[in-house]
Amino acid sequence: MAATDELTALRSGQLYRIPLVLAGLLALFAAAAQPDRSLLRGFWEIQVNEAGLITDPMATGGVGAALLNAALVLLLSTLLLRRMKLPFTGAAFACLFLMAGFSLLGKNLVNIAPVVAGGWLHALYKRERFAQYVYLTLYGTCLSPMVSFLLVRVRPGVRWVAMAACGLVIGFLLPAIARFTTRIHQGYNLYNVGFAAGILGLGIASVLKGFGVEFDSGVSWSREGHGLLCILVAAVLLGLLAAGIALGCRSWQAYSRIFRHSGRAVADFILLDGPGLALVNMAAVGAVGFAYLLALYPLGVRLNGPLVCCIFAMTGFGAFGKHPKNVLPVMAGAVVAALLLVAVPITSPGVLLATLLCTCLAPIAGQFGRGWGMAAGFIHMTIVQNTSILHGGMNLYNNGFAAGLVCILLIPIIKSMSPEPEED
Amino acid sequence: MKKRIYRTRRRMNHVVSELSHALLLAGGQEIDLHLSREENGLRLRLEGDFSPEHQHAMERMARLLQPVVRDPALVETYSELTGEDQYTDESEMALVGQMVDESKVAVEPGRVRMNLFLAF
Repeated sequence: MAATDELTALRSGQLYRIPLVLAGLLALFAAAAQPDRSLLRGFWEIQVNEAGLITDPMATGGVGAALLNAALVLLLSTLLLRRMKLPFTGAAFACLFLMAGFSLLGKNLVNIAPVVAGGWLHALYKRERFAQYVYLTLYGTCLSPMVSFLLVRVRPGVRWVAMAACGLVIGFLLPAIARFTTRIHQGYNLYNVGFAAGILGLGIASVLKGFGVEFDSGVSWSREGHGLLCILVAAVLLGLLAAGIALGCRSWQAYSRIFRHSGRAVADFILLDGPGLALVNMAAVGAVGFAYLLALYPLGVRLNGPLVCCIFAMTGFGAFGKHPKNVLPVMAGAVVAALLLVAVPITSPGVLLATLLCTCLAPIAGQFGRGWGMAAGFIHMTIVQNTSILHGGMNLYNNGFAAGLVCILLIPIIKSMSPEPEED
Repeated sequence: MKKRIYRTRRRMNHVVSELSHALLLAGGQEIDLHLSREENGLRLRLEGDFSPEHQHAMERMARLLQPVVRDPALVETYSELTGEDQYTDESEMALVGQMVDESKVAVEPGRVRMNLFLAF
């Protein structure tokens, strides 16, 4: 019966209701957080201000305005996927949760629009359906801070032209680079487009620096709305858990099947094991990130836009490669590195983000074991401290960029040191 | 049209590589591959044997090659990952299932037959 429910949900496309409900929930919490006109004013502030690493839109326009921005970005992204008639697979969930999450860390309606248009132009140029490029295009909006940067910094007469041109170029070029970079890390970096965007961002930022443009890396970090955001995150995770149970994942035995996957792309858990198990796993992986942040509460860590972004990113990829067994060793390695090596506290913004987002290297732990997973997390934490400067903080998936470099460093070493698999 | 033939040919190479790899790994002694160009695409007919202890894995592979839904965006994003890695993982087989446009897979004790089609 449960399996029939799952197949029905997958075939009929009922799963698209989940991101729509999430968008509604975000809008509801937005109204609760800022029930007056400051909500719309803050929302506008977010659209026309700079965004980058690490800019918290909750500090720019308020907690409610940032949540409203996330709700609208998620709603439009979901409708775009629906319009393209794409099935709601694990890849779709990962993409949509990342869109919602990173709308709490730099993406907004204004700065993603030209990038999406650039992706559409790419499909047009290739004479293919845009549907094929939707994920790459939506992920490609991680370079949208560059669009906002030009909108704010260029002189008024040409700023809209400059930002539109920049977004179009990013959206047009990124799909080609992203398809190539998958071959470099061989699927061990789940934030592949982050790696591609880091390389493209490095190129664009270098050109702009050549023209005398300076990228300053100011950090804005809100400490308001912790209680409300905790309730929001708990509601999302419990909702996913309930949906997964309703779709048939009703025992530990059923759930634990997911641990047999290494998580290496393409580990689409909805396609491999069905939506019930995938949704429960999304809740479990999100809960790992949430629990880690709550554990740091006594040290002064409070939920805000970027941290909720990290939880959403982990949750989304709970349908596409991550599970508790492969994320925990990588996180442990990152925490050890932060404690031993990095000259910044474990509760600093960059370290918190890296600890949660280094889980894009979870397939290394899943494929090669906990030891290599910890090594990957450890190296990631050290490398990620030095990558943001390369693209001027304009790539929101900086951890994906760093993770790609970790793969280049680590995967050949692991493979050369591992014995060949025994075969009959 | 020419461009799509190129893309389909490349994808079919990935599919052949992945399937032959999987069957050899499952103890296959003999694999017959018949690849033909049709008006609208490439068709691969494959028949091979495998060791009895891999029966369950082959049935699992058959399910992955005949998915309930196909996601073209997933294929465009990740198709380069198939057919290259030395390690086995059913995620690569799931990707092959997403790449093909039509698939019929029949698994009998110790033997598998496939009919896969990739459109131009």
